[in-house]
Amino acid sequence: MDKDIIVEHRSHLLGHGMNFVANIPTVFHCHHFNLFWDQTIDDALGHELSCRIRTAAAREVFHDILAGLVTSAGASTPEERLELARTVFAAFGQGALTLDVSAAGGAALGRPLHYSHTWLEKYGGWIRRNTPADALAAGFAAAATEVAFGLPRESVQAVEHSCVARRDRECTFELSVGDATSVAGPMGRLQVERAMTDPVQGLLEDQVAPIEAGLREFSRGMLGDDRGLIQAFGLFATQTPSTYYNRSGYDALRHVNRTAPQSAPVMKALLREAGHVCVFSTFGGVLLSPEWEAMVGPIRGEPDEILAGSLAIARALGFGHWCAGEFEPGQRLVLQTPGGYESAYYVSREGRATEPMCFVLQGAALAIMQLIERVPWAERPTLNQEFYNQLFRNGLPWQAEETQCVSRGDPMCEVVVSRREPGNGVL
Amino acid sequence: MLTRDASCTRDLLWRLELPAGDDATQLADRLAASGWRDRSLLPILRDLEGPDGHRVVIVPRTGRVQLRICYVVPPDARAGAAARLAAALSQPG
Repeated sequence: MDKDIIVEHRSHLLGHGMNFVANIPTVFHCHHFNLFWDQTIDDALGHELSCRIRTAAAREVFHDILAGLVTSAGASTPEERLELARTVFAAFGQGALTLDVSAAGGAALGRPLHYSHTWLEKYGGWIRRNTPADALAAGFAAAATEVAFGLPRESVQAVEHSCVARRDRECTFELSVGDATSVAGPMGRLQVERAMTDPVQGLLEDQVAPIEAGLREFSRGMLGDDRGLIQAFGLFATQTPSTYYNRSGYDALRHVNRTAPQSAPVMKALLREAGHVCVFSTFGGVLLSPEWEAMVGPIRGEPDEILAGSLAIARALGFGHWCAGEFEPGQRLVLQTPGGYESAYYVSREGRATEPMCFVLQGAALAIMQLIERVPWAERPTLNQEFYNQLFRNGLPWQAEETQCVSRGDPMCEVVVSRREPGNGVL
Repeated sequence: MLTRDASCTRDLLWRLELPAGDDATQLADRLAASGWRDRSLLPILRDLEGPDGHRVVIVPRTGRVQLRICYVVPPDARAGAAARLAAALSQPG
């Protein structure tokens, strides 16, 4: 089975910046964001419940992707379907997974896996981890077993028993078959198209559009290497179904609202910080990479250049059709989009919100202003944790407010970034 | 000259400045001719993988050369691997 099957099934909703594989929405994120996101859910719920929610999110959405792909690939036997699953997992940059399963369950083995390998890369030198890191892989293994043997969606349980991030030799999973649990509704291209509002136009479009097209062309061919990881833009990247992030994030927030409502503002702040991490690490990494230099040229650090580049990156990687409604360097940025991967999910699954719900977008907008104003691009800075802490954990000069949100019924999502007023605690 | 490149974490990414007069495109062609696997997705960015899994990423328009040390190499061995790779690349073709 060739990984090119993923390239054949990649598609894009033009004018909305949404990417799909087998008509399921996906987004490219880097390991810094992925690890931060999972840690946020862990911090909110504790590892056990967090792991269950994240595994369930992965299982649901990978079932849908694999079910679509086995049909179009004509994979009819369990062996063919498991081989296809292994190929898909590696093509997405999630790692190398071996599945030894039957209709009654079984075992899976992973090495390397994106989450545990990159956790060791990022933190292994100074933190010891006691809990497994690969809930996404567990969910995938469960989904692959369901699809291979025609089992009901959300009926296989998977538990990771050993994990490389814990200094075990390899990652191992136990799979067992039970009753179908809460079966979530579909979250595919149709639901995304229904949730999107009319395209918007913004500033700098003559700069953004060609970069977006080039990046999209490049990322269309981005696949895991022989070991199943994607090393690109100076990062480890994955293509991940956005439902993984959305379901885990919104389910966790709902749980916190129900059980410890006083902690909900903290959790929302952490989800926004995930947007900071994303823009600092992924967008920053892209801007400094040889890939960017080849497609666009060496980075100079001019405000319009960083803004246009950031908007193009967001669109090409599947965040949404981000536009600059207003931009005054050093003062104000208004980011607008006819929905994104967060609102598409929220509208389809959660119903009408009473407050803005695009937390990654909110954090990302503020972080773009930081990239524009406070990163010395010409010095080719190293985007490490120390620099991140200096930029984002040392008093932010900006505040960001999502003034419109499609999840709330507004005609677009809009985040206004402005200078922080003294004493104002907003974001 | 070999230095850690922007975004380098744990010694994975290195910037190699070629000696004056050396042509980055010729380096890419030489590696491809000697059996390095061409992983380039676009002609404007050459991406070649050697037998040890290390990659050499070359931007022909600017001459930038980035060494990507294979991530299975333990972190404390990566600087040495980068130095050896840089020395090998600097040998006349």
